[in-house]
Amino acid sequence: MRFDDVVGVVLAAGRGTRLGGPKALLADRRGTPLAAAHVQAWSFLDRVAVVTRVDIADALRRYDPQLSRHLLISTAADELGPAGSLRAAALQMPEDRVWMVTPVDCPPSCRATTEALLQALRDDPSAAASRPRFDGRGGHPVALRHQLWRTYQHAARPLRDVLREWSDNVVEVPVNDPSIRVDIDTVEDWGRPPVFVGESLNSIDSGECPDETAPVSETQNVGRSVGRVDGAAKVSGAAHYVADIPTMAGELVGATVRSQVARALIEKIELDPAFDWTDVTVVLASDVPENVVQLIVDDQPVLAADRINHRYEPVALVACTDVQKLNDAVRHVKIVLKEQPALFDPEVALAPDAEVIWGEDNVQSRYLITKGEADVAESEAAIDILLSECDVVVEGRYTTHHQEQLYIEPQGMLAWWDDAGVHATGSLQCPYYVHKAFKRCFDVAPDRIHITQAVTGGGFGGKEEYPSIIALHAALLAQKSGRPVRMIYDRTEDIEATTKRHPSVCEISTGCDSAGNLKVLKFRAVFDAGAYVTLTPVELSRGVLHAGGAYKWEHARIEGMSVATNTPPNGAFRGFGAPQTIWAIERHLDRVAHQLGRDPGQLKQQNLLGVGDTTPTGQELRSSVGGVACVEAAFSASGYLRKREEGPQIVGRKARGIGCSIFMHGGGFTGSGERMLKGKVAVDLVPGGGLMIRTASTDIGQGTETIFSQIAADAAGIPIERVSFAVPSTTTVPDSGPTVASRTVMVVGSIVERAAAQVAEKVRAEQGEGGTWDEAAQRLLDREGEVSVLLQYEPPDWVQWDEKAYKGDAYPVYAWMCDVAEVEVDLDTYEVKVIDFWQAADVGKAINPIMCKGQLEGGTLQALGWALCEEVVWDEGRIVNPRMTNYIIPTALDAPPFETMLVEMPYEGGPGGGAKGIGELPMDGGAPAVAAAVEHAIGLVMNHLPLTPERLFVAHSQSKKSSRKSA
Amino acid sequence: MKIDLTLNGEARSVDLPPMMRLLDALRTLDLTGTKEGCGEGECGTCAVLMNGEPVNACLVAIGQCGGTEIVTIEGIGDRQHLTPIQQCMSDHGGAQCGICTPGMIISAEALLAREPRPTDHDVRMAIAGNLCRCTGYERIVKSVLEAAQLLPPERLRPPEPPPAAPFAMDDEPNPGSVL
Repeated sequence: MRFDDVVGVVLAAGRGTRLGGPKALLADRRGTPLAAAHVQAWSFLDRVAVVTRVDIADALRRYDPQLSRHLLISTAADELGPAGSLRAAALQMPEDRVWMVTPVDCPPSCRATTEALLQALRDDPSAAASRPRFDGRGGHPVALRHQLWRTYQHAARPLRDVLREWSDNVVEVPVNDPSIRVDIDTVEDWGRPPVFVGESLNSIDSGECPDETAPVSETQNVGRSVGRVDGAAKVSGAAHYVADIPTMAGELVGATVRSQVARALIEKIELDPAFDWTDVTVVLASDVPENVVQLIVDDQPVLAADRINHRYEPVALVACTDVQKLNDAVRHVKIVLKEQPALFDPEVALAPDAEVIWGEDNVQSRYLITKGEADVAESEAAIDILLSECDVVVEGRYTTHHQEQLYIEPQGMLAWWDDAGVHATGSLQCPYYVHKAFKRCFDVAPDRIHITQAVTGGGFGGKEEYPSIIALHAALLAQKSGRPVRMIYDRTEDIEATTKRHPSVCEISTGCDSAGNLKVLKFRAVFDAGAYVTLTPVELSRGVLHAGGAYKWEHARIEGMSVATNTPPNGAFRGFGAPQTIWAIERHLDRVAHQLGRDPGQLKQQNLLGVGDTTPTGQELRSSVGGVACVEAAFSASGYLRKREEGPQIVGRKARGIGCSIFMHGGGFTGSGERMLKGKVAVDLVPGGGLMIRTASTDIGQGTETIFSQIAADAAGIPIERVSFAVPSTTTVPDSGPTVASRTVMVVGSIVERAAAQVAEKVRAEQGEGGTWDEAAQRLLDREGEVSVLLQYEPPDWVQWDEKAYKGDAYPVYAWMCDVAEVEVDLDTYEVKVIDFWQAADVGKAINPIMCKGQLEGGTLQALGWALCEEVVWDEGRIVNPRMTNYIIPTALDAPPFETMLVEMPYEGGPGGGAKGIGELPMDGGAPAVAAAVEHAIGLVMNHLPLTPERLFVAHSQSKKSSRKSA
Repeated sequence: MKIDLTLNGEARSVDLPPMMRLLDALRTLDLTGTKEGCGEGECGTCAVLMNGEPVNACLVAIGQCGGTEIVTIEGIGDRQHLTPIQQCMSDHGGAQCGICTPGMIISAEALLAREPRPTDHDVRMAIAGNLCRCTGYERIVKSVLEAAQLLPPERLRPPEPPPAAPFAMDDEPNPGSVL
């Protein structure tokens, strides 16, 4: 008999109050929880899905990590009971499978009964279900064909009712198995005092979420919210950021002389002869050994030599001991220039007759993704025909604006030269980026370049590529003066000169059938790159790769281009291109839902990608696909569907509405990026028997030091206190790749895990000769001098990527998330207050649940700031509001209370039992969720960010005017 | 200019230009725990306690500090002697990159000193002048509320009587009023 198309479905989400705990965790005499016993009993089936709640799943996973792949998380059971669980399964299970459904609170099915039920189905092609009978009465399990169980995709109804409705197609199968009638409801049924598996039992008992800080066990760190290992230094003020490093002997302060125009030819640079320059060091472009900032394209000079391409372009550097004099010196450097016409709008820059400011046509990079019958690179004709064949076609245009990272610690660097070469230490994410930039500019041997991270006060991408520039500047001044030079930007200079999130314009046309099944996607994204390329092509790539959103499209054509303007170069910022395209596709699907008369949340849910579905690049999603579970969790916690149905609530002059967004974010570098990058980590055995992790992955607040220590401690089986983290310095740590792209935990953490395990293996082998761990470690060190394991990242071998055709596995895995925002709009002032926020994220495995939630909440608040209050105001390339006073980020009073739910669908390549990258994920969904909520509250459709009161007021007035006109 | 003040509980006499920012003055005394975020009183990163009230050290000139009592993060608790707020900020996700943390703790300490059992809203009001870009504030608020639970019982005084109405027909002059 074939079992490869049969899935066991165990309904295990009940709280089971009568027995005093969840029955899924009820332990038999050998200590096996009931849910695991069902999995064992059905091990001959293709797969068993235990549908359960997050907390029960957590306890099961702790009991046996192998159970992870069987767990399917649903919170719908809370509202809808077993029918909710069936619905969750129906939304996530591949079609053409037969289900064997059993409640968890009964004895595991015997194989003969399971086989008899299947045989009955196979014998009768018209049968939709079969169920066992013993002694004239029915029982469990029940076998269901696809045509029956798929009804759960649309509604969650009691199985009893569904079977009654289908009774003509239900086969009753007599079996000689009295256990089919047994239910375990009471202590009498169970026959002995109930014992439950899992540490979080008490909290489950009381119906609350498990305590995040509850210790699991002394030896287990992963999955536990251990406190920050760098916490004491930070909360006591003892941590040394770049401004806090003690002054070096002879140290100078450095400053930058910048252009005051957006585009010009430099004729000459004059030092005011009336000014006393004797104790001032001045560096000009002619002093720069190789005048290029090493990145993707060699277009950005370290100092402008003959032309200026944006208003804040560095032209000269000055340094002296006295800050007052330094500020005077900056004012006495005169740039003699000839202004040229400048471009500030990427769409203007694309016009055929536009001034050429970059390359041949201002276009810096292009991408094209095609899928299905639209897989034709040459023309748009195919996709246009496909669109025209759809029942419902919707077109729209969506724009986004600049966003400043606004890390609270401004950029800063301290540089000096000595016998060992050149040193730079400061606020940075990626020590080896700076290393490469130094190697290029100064042409010195790699081992004479020493780049060290100081404690870094936030980065969010803003300290990915920019630190190379400020470090080069400080080092140039240090080289010329022969003294250490420290440069720290004040807030205004930081906002003006450093990179920001790319503004974007996205145009979308989609087609679907009248039932709301999405079919065709045509997407065109234009990103404003700013004056130089920096990392823009990679951001645009991530943007187009996320343009389809979390949804199934049969045919797609996604085009992207980045275009130069005479504004400061835009660059990395959490989300890295994805927030722009996800804003567009989410808003667009809201429009499609409106057109169909459907709720946007339900429409999105209907079209969500699941296991086995393919993305626009043709990537088949293999596993760890948690979109549906996240939606279930966020919808049920927020009461989204009910509140949408009830309509906006208007109290006095305030209107309340609710909206959602659903999205995914790829972890790690795109395509073959990780394969080329070859990230490395070393783990050393140190005297005393501890481990030291050496990695270039920096802690910029997200918790790398703590999380890597947790992973290493568990991999080695030692307490976390015995793991230390080397200061990231290119002199002592290998190149793990940059601290970006949601790759630190997932990619670099997995190398840490392997390396720590290998070091521990050596010690334990030595322990075979006798003695404790400490003694064995010492013997090993005494004998070998150095015990260290250096490993390189190996991406999963199945990852295939065609860079040329832009097809294949764009990312090995995605993290998934659903946001629900509830807002209150003031009908007089148009202020939007986010009053509640629910977010559920599939993180694979939370290494440190509190830190994981902290990432999700912090990222979401940045997204809410981008949506509601953050706006860079421009005037001919000049930033009008380069201060914290007028560039507004959310305060504690603006932030909503966050309810953050972690869904764990482990990724087999992730450390700690399946962690995925989640750093950028939360940035993607806040804005569209808020815009959908504003639309629900006041009926105003906003397709352009930000939703400031002024913009809402103008848009609302216009929409009222036009609706009056059309009336 | 010579200025006498109490700094972290110690009587100190400093000789500095009177218009020097308190923030810079602290750094000349090797107190680098007070950080600079904006230099214009917007971010609260440089908050210190001046006579028990949080102030932005970038907006206070050292010349204004004569006779005052200044407490910086170093005076709250060192690594070996963390206060409940410091401990909770470290343990419950209240600190990420840590740059806003000293100022945040200063504001929170001032809050708990006057209100040992604050509500969620009390905490948000108290730290509304301290910007954090990492946490979304959720874990900071939770850390402070958690810390309030750890306060020793003697900190829990009975609520103070409401302040006298400013226009009360009282024989006693109101010493706090400057009007």
